[in-house]
Amino acid sequence: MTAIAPPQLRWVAHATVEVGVPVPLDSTSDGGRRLVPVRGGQVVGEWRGIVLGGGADRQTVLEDGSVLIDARYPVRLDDGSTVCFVARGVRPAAAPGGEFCTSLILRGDAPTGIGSTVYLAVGHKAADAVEFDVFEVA
Amino acid sequence: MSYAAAAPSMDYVFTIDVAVQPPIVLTESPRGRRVYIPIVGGTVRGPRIQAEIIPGGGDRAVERAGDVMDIHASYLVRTSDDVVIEVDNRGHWRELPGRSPYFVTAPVFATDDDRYRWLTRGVFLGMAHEVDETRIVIDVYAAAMAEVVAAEERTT
Repeated sequence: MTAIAPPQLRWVAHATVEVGVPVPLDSTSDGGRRLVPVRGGQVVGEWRGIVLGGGADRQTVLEDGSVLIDARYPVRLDDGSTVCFVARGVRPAAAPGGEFCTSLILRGDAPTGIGSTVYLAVGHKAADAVEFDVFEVA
Repeated sequence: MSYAAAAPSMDYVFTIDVAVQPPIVLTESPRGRRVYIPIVGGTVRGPRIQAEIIPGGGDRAVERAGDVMDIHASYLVRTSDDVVIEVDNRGHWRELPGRSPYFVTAPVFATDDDRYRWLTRGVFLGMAHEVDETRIVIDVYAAAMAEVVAAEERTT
């Protein structure tokens, strides 16, 4: 370990993302791939946004039942800018309630303090939506 | 709804020491520029992994107006027990007034070797520091996944 400070996590927002029916894609050496459409939703907290349709979570289902999350979807922030949420992480096979954790990076022309920040998302999956809390990494 | 779930603790796992070459400019305009930063070597050192960076990767970075940069580095490492692991590391760099720059990444690892399965079942954050023009040091932390599951169980 070097002299770099460890990450500090601070809650900034809660998100609800409505998802559609998974579309099976193919099987690779990594696992079965499927596309989960993102239909809409909202982000509420220190900053707010509306989840736009058209994005998707390109998931990989591993042999042990773990799901690798690789979601990209557009979000319109309340200042009018549109960013792409890039969320990558894991829903562990052992998570009974569909709990998951991802990193979250915003791509686009968001205000600097919001857009040029890395986040951690922690949440769970329900039938037709995922809910997660967003923590700023500083 | 589970507002304000607890953040998982982040545990230090290893340090990536990346050797880079000067940026190659790909496109440039008043809005910023896209560059390719060749990754030519380096090491991964930690209690559970010792590895060398295989030269030939790079960082496709986007420099934006306002002294901010989007990072997207992609490279391979070879461990001391001869396992090749893919590293895909996105993040952000920006100036902070009166302090060292904000330089945080979210590396994602891929391998099918059971010895390093933990790298593919975790969520990681990289706290990065530009030592000089030729060297980036990144302390990597893992989210405590057991806490992720337990925290959500309490709130649902």
